[in-house]
Amino acid sequence: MKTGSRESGTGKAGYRKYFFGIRKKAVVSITVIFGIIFFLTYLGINKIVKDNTREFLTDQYSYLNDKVLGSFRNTYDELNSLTADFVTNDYVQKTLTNQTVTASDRDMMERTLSYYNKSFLDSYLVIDNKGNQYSQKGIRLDMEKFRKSAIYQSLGDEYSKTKILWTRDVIFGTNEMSFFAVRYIREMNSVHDAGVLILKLNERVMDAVRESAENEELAYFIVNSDKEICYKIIPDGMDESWHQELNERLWNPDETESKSLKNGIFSSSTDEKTMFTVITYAPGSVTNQVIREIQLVMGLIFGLMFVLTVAGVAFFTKRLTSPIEYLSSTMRDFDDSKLDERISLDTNTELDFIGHAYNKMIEKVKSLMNDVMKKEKELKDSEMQTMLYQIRPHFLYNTLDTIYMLARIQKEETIMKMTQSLSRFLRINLSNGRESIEVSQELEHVSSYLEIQKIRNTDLFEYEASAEPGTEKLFVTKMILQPIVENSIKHGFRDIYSGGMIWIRAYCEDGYLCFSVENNGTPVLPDALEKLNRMEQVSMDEMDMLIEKRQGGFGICNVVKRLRLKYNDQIRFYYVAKSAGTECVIKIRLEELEH
Amino acid sequence: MRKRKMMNVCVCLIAFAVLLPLSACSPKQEVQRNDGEEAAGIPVTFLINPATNLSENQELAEAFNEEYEGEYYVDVEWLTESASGYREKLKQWNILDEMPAVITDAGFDYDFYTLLTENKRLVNLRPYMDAIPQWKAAVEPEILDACTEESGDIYLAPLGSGIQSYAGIIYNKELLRQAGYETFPKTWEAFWDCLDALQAKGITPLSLHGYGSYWVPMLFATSYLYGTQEGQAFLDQDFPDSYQTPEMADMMEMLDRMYGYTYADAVEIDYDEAEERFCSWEAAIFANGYWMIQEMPDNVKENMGFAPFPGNILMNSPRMSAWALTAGYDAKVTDGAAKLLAFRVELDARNSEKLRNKEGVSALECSYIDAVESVSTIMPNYQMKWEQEIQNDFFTERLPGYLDGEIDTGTLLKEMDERLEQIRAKK
Repeated sequence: MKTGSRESGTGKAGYRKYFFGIRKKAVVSITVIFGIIFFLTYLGINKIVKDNTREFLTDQYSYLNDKVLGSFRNTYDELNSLTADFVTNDYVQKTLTNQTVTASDRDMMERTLSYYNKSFLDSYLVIDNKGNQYSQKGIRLDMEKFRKSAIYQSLGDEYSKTKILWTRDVIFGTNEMSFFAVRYIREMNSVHDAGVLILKLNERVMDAVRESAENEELAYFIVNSDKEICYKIIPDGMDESWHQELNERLWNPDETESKSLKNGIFSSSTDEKTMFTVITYAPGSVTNQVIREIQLVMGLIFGLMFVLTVAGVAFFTKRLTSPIEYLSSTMRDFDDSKLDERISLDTNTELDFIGHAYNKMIEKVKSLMNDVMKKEKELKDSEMQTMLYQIRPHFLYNTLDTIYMLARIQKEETIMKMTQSLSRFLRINLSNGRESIEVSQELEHVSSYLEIQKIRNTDLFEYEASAEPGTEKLFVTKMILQPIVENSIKHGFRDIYSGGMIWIRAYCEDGYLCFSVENNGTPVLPDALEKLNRMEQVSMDEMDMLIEKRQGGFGICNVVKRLRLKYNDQIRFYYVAKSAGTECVIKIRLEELEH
Repeated sequence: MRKRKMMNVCVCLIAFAVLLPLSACSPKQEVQRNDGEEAAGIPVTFLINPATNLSENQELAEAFNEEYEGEYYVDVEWLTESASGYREKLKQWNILDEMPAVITDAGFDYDFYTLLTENKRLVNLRPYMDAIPQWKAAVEPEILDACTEESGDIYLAPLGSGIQSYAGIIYNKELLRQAGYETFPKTWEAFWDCLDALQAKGITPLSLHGYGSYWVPMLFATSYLYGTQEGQAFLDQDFPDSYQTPEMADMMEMLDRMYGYTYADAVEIDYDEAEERFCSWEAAIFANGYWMIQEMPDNVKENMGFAPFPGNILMNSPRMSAWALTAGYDAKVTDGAAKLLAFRVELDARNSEKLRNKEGVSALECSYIDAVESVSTIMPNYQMKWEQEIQNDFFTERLPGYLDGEIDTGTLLKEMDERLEQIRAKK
């Protein structure tokens, strides 16, 4: 893109010059709009990211929680399998149908049961349907107390499902809170009362759960249906606020679904078989860390995008506004001295057309200014001439009147006639400075001229001048016929010495006032005819070049110019070459005439 | 005008910029097809015949799943196990509270059935049958009566008719033809002659077994028992108080005699082995019900014939075909399971009609239907009449010795009564 040079400012003024107008508005507007867009987009995305992050983290922690729950279920399944081994054991089954228990039976059974050696199995107790008790620790329970214990009560109406309990050990004497697996022992074949199997489990029962709790930043809890925490894994360094969180949010259904990440995320799932709940707690310090990192990256990205956008807008608006500024400064600095300066733009935009239009306008202005200057000069000259004419006629008319009186005294008819004609010719010629005269006056003027010429060229020609009634009083610009008859004498009668005839007529035809000047002399030559007839068509400047002025062309040219200027080109002017003679016709549209 | 237009554009841009993120913030409109509730699976365990790898209930499961697609489906655990093994598993599943929603063979063992009903382990089907009138209407009244408790509760869901529940003799026509028999003997004398003729031809006459249940030999033996009026009276009793009767002694001796016409290791093999050997042409005569015919491959069926036991006797018990619903499943599963039982009766009615009209059935099935239509005596299933412990434990423990001649018939029956006393005492 080529543009003109532009001054670069300095200081505040320079800055204003550099950063104002369309560019300033464009940069400020676009910066504000994009700022709002980026800000709102950031807010929107931030909200989405927060929600999605929460959803993602919740899903992730739910997955981890389900994994722990799955591990807990596997532990239950293993316990269930172990209790199934106990209750389907032939010796255990026999305790339900045997009427009496021998020492051998007891020994055999206890020995068999001791084979069920599991790392998490602390102790077992089988109570048959007659109250007989079998264990490796020689436990002897008061059955009445036992039936009132939480362990027995927990079996409820279940037929024979394995129940997992977290309760105080009142069976095996430790009185500590422990996990228990209890189950009814049912007889297979026929109707009998049920026995009870009680397994006390040590802390290793949760080994699998601990192993499945992979994420060491999270806390895990196993809670029974009474909301007692039976087992927990707390990460090192985690503050004790989880107590409060657990109480406030987890057991409050309205709070569990809190959308804020501030307080961390709880995931919980309850195993329907055991009614134990596995809870995973991600503290706020963990969840906020994730969202803070995302927000930081997002903020950096949006900040960078905003800066790039503003810089980009400034750069591109500069490219766009430079030619406008160039146009503006060129127009602002325009004066008379810069009529020859032109705008040079090649932006391949609409601005190029503006530049071209400006250039054309400057050219037109220059042309008009020249015209105006020329016309002003002509007007001055004309005024001078008019003033001169106003001074001279009185002296000239007095002189001519004196010559006429002397000729009359001396009876010099020719001088009298010539003097009278000249006086009339000059009087009409000047017409007190008026430009237009009546047709009759124009005919009188040309007749005066011909009378003088007749005296000068004895017997060379005669003439007839006539006006159609109704045309005499029409006003027409003066001295349009004299140069034509002058040419008729000069060129038409150049080959004769007598017998010449000139007919001058004024008449109306087809809405035109027409003048015909015809002679019977030598016809106009074709070359001259062609040039004369082009005069009504060409421009004023070309008209001058068309006619050779030394040969009387100046007069003709003057007539045509005056007619065209006076009557706004609503005229006709042409010559017709005839077999004997030449006719010149002038036609002026009647609407254009002065009244 | 132009300024106003620009303002409008700016407002639109800002509104778009505001709405874009906000629209993204609106709750997700998840496109989810509403297919209603998930189809409920009905846990069932069906047996696969180890000899043929086929199950008589495959057609039922497939037809039900097609009929109730999207609502229910039979979630089958296919179990390759003998019938007696399955019944033992059933007891184990019960004490572990792991029974499937629908159990087959629910009426075989009276004690176990009593245990189930008294402990409310089964669902009373009466409300379901009342809700599905066509189900109740499709069950013959005498069969329904046999499955109805005195209280009016119904825990057993039998087939509508007994036409597919008869047991008799299945024999290899070609092997009998080689021994000079075109039809199966109609009397016990002719039966023994036939066995001799087969043996003379070097063909093992009977495919018997011992281990587990003694089902096939006991079918022969009880049909022999039912051939006399005294025998009928004994077998018609529910849980006799003593087995020391002349009819039982006669039956035991007949049983002992039959083992002289079977494999040397018959006492040691189980039912599945005996069936497999029979289907492989290793013996000429077998005994079982229509359910075995259903599971037979076509190439095996084409050389087989069906006949009543000598004396024109067939075995059938209404409760034999009965299934039951177990308690403890949620309402939808139980509802679907009840529909499965009703569907089973409906399907059986359609198949029974085809069987009765011999439409598209094999020659073996034709001979079965001929036998059913011309049978003169129907005997009950001994499994439902005698103590399970006698049938299973005692027979397994003591019959091998008896068949080897270690103990005589009188001693065996005495021991049976002693065991009976113990059983009663345990109860």
